[in-house]
Amino acid sequence: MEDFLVGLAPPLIKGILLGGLYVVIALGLSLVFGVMKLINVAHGDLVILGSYFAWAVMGWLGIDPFLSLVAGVPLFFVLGFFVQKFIINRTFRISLDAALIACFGISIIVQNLCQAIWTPFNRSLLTDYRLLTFAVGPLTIQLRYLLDFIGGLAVMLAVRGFLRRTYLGRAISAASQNEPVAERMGINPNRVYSFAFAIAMACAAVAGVLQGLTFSFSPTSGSPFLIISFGVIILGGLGSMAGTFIGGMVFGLTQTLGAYFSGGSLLVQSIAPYLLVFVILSVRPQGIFGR
Amino acid sequence: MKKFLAITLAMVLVLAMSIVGCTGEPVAPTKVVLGATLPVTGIFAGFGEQGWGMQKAVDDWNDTYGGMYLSEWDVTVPVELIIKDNQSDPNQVGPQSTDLVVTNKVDALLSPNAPCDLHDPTTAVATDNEVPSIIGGGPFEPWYFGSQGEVTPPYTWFAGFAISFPSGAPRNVPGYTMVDTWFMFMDAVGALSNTNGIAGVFASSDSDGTGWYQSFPALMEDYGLTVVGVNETLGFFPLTTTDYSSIVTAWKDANVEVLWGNCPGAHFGDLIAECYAQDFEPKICLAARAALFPLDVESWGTTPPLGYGVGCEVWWSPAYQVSDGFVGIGNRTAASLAADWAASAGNPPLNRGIGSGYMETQVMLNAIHEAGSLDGAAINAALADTDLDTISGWVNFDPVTHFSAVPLAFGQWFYDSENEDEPFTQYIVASALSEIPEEDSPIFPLPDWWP
Repeated sequence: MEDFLVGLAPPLIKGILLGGLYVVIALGLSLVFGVMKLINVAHGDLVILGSYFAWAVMGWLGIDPFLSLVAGVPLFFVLGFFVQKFIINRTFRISLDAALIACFGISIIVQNLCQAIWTPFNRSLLTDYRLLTFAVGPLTIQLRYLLDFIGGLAVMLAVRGFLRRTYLGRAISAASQNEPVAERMGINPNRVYSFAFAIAMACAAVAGVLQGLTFSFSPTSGSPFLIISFGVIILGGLGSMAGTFIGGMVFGLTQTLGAYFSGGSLLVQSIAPYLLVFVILSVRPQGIFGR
Repeated sequence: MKKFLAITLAMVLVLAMSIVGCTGEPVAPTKVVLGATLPVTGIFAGFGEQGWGMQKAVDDWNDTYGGMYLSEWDVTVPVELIIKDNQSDPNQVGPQSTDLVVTNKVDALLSPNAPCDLHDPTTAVATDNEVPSIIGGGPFEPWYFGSQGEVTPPYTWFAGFAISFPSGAPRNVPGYTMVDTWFMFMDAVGALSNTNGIAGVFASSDSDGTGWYQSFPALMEDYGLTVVGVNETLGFFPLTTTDYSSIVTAWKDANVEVLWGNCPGAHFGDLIAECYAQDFEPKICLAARAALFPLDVESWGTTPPLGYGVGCEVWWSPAYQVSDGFVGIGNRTAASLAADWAASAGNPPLNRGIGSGYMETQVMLNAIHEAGSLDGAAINAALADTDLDTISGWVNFDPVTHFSAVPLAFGQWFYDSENEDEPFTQYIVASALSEIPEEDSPIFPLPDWWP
């Protein structure tokens, strides 16, 4: 029994820590969907844009990718605000489908922009500490995955706190719950949407750094993470920040435990979380924390 | 009645115009157009740089001969190359190849040395439209046994390397296949006596990786290695995999000392990083496809240099000599091709695929010249009769398999911490052919993670 638990500990820890990366990637997608009911299919590409931004700043200035967030988060925030204000809000006037198509367009533009500027080849955020490990009792913890978890938790708490404790955050929540009533209360939905998209972009900047520290990336790397994000927010509940956090943990754990119990099969590892998504969709379609 | 007369008159007019048109002199072509669909972007972008070699061959031909002389018309016309970017998406290869034939009206198709998904659809288009085509790469078998259910697609020819010698191959000596060059390296380092002989294998679940996983573990067992976990598909992973810890743990538990596989470079980078994190360092690491291109190897990082000592096949070398039969178009040599590549925009590190791209274009241009015509059947017949020294060696296709083997060697990546611009360089460490000298001694065992 003791051997079993000792064997189980590494995939458990790895699943939780890896889940942190999924959380931070999925948060922006979840926020935009929760507020606007829009599936931002460009979100994965925006995360990769965040990875490239950190990579470029690292190359130009020689500074740590986390320090690049000092410029990256405000820049992405402003960029997100204007993308929503001048592109997506305008397409909303036509229909939700038009906004979805606009997101597809943004996805294609971001991918090609990254290819044009940074070439199509694989990159990584190659810091000195990227591959550091340390021992906690019998367990070996990889620093990059620990950073993923800390990043996921911190961003989730920050966004959740912002939505609950600030006027703007409560306005965003109100608009997401009942837009006509919120409008009668003096809230400008378009402005709220712009801020929501801006926050999602800022999350993408943070997610990009963590993704680039953990995995290689190229201009087309965003799609797999978009698919994982869908799984995460379906598990946790669409639009719920805490649900997204739990969804990320569950997704990561299902992957690592799936591989563990199948003798290391990465095919099982890849399929297991999506089987769980099917189960959740059939039993509780709104997700674990969804309303 | 009026309607009947009008229709009759229209038909007579159309018939008359057709007869007049048919009796007119055929118009001579104004150019020769070659077409290729390449993974210029996407995860296989390293393979897409072969387009540079293709264009160089076209430029060399135009510069040397002033264009293509077509004896059928007694004219010399310029040669053009059209490259379409398939974004590393196999689903785009067929439609793009069709577009090249139907819209761009290319006279011949070229396919890169790349995973077979990225050239098989071109073979189908070439066959359906009777447009001659050449694949310049390898391995040969996935194409030969996988193309449209036919044994030999009639309009496609394959100049490259094989996994092992196919029946009827023109050259049946070591130095042209993956099996003999890779195992030559294993012999050179005494893999069976200097390791415990336990091997772990890895492969991505795309067609290239699947084919590798189905064939190579058995060859490794035949060689004398013990391969762990193949029945449980250990190490076989989808391209969406984000966590490799379970397989690395399994290899570590099985005391694996030889790591061997085939996957894209990005995925291998994540895999080898996990190996480092778990302090699992094999004595030998061979990574087909993943370790082909310097930018992929650099992306794995230098702290520590994870690519140091990783080996894979070598398709081509700037050290090839004209005196050994490695002849380009005009005065082109392998060294000058590499020098021009190095001087091209951005001063990129050497991509050995430029030799493959150049070679297949050279063969096709030679066939069109020999045919003296742009008729597909005539060019195809000239390809069958090809007997040519190229920048990658002698090309002479087998009439049954349509295969011509070009030399293959084995290389490892060496790390130089002093060279910040290009810290990794691939050197040939095992070669069966005297004309391809070994450039360094094999690295064995793999150096410590922090050399």
